[in-house]
Amino acid sequence: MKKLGCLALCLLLLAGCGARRGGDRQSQSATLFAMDTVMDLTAYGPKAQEALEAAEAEVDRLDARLSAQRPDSAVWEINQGGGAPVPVDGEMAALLERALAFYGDTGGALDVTIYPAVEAWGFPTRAYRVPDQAELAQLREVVNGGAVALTGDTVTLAPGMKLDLGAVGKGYAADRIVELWTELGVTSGLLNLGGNIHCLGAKPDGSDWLIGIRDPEDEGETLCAVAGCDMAVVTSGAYQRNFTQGGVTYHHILDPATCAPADSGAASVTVIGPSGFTCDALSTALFVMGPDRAAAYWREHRDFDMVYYTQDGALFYTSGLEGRLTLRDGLEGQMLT
Amino acid sequence: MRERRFLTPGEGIVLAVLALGAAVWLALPKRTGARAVLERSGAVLGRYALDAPQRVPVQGANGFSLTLVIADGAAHVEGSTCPDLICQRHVPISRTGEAIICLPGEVSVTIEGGERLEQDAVSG
Amino acid sequence: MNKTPFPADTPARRVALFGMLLALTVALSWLERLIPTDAIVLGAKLGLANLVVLCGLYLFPLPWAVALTALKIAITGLLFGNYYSLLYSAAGGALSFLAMYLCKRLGRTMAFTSVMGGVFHNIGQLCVARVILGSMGVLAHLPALLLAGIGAGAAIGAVGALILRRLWSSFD
Repeated sequence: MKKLGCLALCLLLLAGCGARRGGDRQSQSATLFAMDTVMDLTAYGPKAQEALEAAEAEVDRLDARLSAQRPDSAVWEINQGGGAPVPVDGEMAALLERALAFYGDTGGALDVTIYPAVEAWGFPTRAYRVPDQAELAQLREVVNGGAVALTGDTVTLAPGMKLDLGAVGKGYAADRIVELWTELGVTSGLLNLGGNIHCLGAKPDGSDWLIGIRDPEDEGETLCAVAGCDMAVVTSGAYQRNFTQGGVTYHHILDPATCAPADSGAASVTVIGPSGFTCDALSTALFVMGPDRAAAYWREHRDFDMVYYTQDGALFYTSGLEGRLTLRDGLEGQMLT
Repeated sequence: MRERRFLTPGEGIVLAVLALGAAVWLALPKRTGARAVLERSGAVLGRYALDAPQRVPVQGANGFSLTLVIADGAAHVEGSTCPDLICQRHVPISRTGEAIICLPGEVSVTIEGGERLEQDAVSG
Repeated sequence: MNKTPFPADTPARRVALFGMLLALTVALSWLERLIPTDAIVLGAKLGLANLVVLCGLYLFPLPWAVALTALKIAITGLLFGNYYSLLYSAAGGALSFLAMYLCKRLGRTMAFTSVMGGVFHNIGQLCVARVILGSMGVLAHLPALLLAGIGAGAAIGAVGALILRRLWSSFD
């Protein structure tokens, strides 16, 4: 029976080879509720605990600054300006500048002044209602990203205008956390900020992260999965927040041009790229644009990748995802080139 | 003369248990796999569906190269420049857990299951 | 177990037998290359040349047996193999020899010793593959390699016992 002991010992040694190669696989995870969503954060390595604490503090800080609903947030203060210039710090000025650049670049599809319309539909308070045509026409007067006057350290909104950074806030938060973690020396981590995924580095074993993209029709299913590292994977879908009234379902992605839920033919748009902010902004904008304009936008820029799933059940993806995208069995995809 | 006995009864039992254990392990139900996972030095280079015939050129370690061939629902290795060619002689693999290894090139091809890929997170 | 493994041991006889066995490993290694068992179970070989190592262990004092094993690995590695197969055989050979030596010391039968040699030879090789490739995939081969090791080890052990019986009776 000593032989069996010997064999068992050897098998243990064999298993030991595996554990050694892994190096430091310490990981720490946290779940928190912030920015009106559930966030799952996982950091790997010896600094994982420190990284999580830093991330939680940063998320709290940003939530307190960027929320359009919280009184005394930086955004709330800007919205109370009533036509007068409101002083902003460097971070807010930079954020607004980037967001306004997307307004111009996407032909107004991403508009941070959408908040009056968001409020009118009842999304912040969940007291949902359907504004009538006259009200929508009124809203269109005050939803105008082009009218935001941003100077070096002040921002001025016309009376009635209100900012909402909801379309970029989570993406910005992800970028900030990645920045903090990188400073701490964390080389591997995974952020899930309410469906906005951000992968830092590769997985601890050196392999690619594999990020699924939700099936809009079925919460438990995925359409496909994207492999990669150091990437943000952000999805905008009509299923994320909506309400039904009079047999019609209204979702939360409002088209700034109509101030009503975007009816572009998109069911879900996922943008993959290095910057969480950019992916967040573009996923909303490309959803609003609809498949044809989105494809044209990608061909013009080609500095991000996307998976576009239409209401007709068609899926197309950009050529940068070739070899990294695994489609669900039976699902056909078309590659944009 | 010594060593009259070929095996003592105790030894026979140990070997029988060992062989049986290995045989049961080997006979564990194995499903037909869905993908071949290509790895070099422990890093995943790619995943290839077994139902999509293709040839994947692989640049291995130490200057060796080979071609991963997906054909007839199975994976095998061709055109390896490694010296021992064990990888190239190996029969095509198609069942979960099976693997072809090129030690000189530090390349391994492992078959993984037909179930959904293990996703780290879901965006949406 | 008899403490003097080699009956009528004289230096001349011992050297002659040593050389003969070493030559035999080369012949057996060449023969083995003609049988492509490694295409079915990854990297598995019959281990015909291990027959010689096994006999050496029973015929010679420990230092001679170690020398025979090391020379066998070096010579066949240089003749038929390459750096990588040498690495493989060295790891497998060393672990296998250790296992067989322990078995013999514990008074196990030759067949059992041989099986343990075969099993641990494969475990040693798998360890090398595991470290170099860093892939868990190689572990999938463990059961098949264990079975192959048991089978090949038993066959080699049976032949070895037969050979030794003849050898000893010829010396007696």
